[in-house]
Order: sequence, then structure tokens, then C-alpha cells
Amino acid sequence: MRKKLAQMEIMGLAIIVILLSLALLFVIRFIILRPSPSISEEYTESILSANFISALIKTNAPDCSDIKFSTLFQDCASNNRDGTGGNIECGEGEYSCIYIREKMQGMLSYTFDEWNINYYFIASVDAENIDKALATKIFEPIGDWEPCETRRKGKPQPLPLDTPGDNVHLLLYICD
Amino acid sequence: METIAILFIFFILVAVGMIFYSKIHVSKIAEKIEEFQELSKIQIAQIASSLPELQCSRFNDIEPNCIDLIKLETAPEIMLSNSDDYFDIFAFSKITVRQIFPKYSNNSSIIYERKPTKINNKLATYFPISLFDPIDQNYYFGVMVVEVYT
Repeated sequence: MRKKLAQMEIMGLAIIVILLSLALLFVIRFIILRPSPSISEEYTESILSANFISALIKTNAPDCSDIKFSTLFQDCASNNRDGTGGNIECGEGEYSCIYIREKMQGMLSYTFDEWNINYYFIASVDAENIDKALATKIFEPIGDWEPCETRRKGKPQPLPLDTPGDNVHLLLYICD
Repeated sequence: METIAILFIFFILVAVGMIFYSKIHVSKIAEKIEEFQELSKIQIAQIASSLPELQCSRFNDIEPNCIDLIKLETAPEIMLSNSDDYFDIFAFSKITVRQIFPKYSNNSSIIYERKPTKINNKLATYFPISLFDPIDQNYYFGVMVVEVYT
């Protein structure tokens, strides 16, 4: 009788050990070995952000005598100190800063909004981190910072300004 | 009796392990297939954006991430009439280009389209791209959409 009881105890222990190892396996699988983003996902995200910025700065603005957006950004960053919104006039009384923001909102809504991709665009003089970027922004950022629950991706695109060493940085964050 | 009980539990555990392993294996294969499809989608988009039939160039100097609007007018006709030749590169897919700025175009130019008889899945990738007008030497903002059918 005692022998049988001992056998039962050993079996119980064996089952507990098996259950514990199964639980450990699950922990390793789902917590430690968290799936990293696929190559294609990373590629698409980096291409999306980089292509958008590179295509944008090359684009000519017909309302601003066909001046490129890169020049408009530089003008907005250099000549927005007194709140006039830049020196270059685009249409009736609309200057570069307001124009860029308005047109970019349209471009972003026809692209990222349509594709259901969360974004956050900020143009600033200092892009070391988001706080510094917000403190030196040249106009109000476009998109929401909040909806992005996962990490954000974005690489700043610097454009040189008249003052040596100064740049305006264009940052388009995309939710991972 | 005890031996039978132990063997029974042992075989149940083995069966559970095998089911668990096969489930993981099947999901891994499905992930690999999806990854492969995603990569082929990117490959198609890269080839499409660097096709000499569409790409911007000045004195043999090729400009990346740019489509010539004059080439875009004629390329679809050539590509659609020779779709068998392009099938080796683009397989079952649809490639379209749409202008976003300064004028938003509702109609997108279909560069290539070939659908399988039965469509199980459609994966789309979007690439912001520059559109160059060689007549007025201006750049516009556009989007290339690559849809891969499986």
C-alpha cells in the first residue's frame, strides 16, 4: 500500500515537472523569443518614410512660382522668426509655412490616411529627440502622436539653412 | 495495471507534444510563405520603379525613385501589348501610378496588370514617388501601388 502511494506521488511530481517545462516553453516562445519585424515590414516602413520625404522635397509648388518644397522648408525655417510664416509668397497672402503645412496635410491624407497608416510629421531645427524637435518646430506637426501604441520609425532628412551649421530636419514617424 | 496507466499518460504527453510541434511547424511554414510573398512584392515594386521604360534619366544619368511622365504615357500601352514578356518579371500583379500633388488624380495609370483565374489573396504595397515632367522640367508628387495576386 505504501509502495503504491509512493509511486502515485512520483507520478504526480513527474506531471508537475512536465507541466512546468511546458509553461517554460511557452514563456520562452512568446516572451523571450518575441517575433522580430520581418525584413519586408522593415523595408517597407523605411522606404515609405524615406521615399515620402525625398519625393516631397523634390516636388515643385505651382502656387509658389514652381519653387521646390525643399526651398520652401528652408525659407520657412529661416524667415519665420517674426511669425510672418516665411518670405516666399504662395498665392494671395499665403506664405511658405502655411502653404507647406496645408499642402502636406492633403498629401498625407491621400496617402497614409487612405492606407490606414498612423503617422506624425514634424519639421524642426533640432531633431536630436522629440522634445527638442517640438521646441524648435517650424510649424505645427501634422498627425497624432498618441495613436501609435508601438514604437515609431523615422529618419530625419536634413536641409541646410543660410546660417552655417544650421539645418531644418524633416521627420516622418510611422508606427511600427 | 500501473504500467499501463503510466504508458497511457506517456503516450498522451507524446501526442500532445507532437500536435504542439506540428502546429508550430505549420504556422512557421505559413509565415515563410507570407514572407516570401511580401519579398516578391517588394522585388516587383523595385523592378517597376527602376524600369528603363519608366525611369527618369538625363544624359544617361538615372534618377532613382522617379518616373518620367512622358514615358508613363506610352509605357503602359507597350507593356500591356507585350504582357507575356513582362510576366516573367511581374507575374500575377497590378502596378499603378497615381498623381497626388499638385493635382489629385482619381484615375491611376495602369502600367501592368495580369490576374490569375482564381484570386485567393491580394497584397498591396505603396511607394511614394516623384513624377517628372520633362516639358516644363517640374517634379510632382505621386504614388506607385503594387498589388500582388496569389
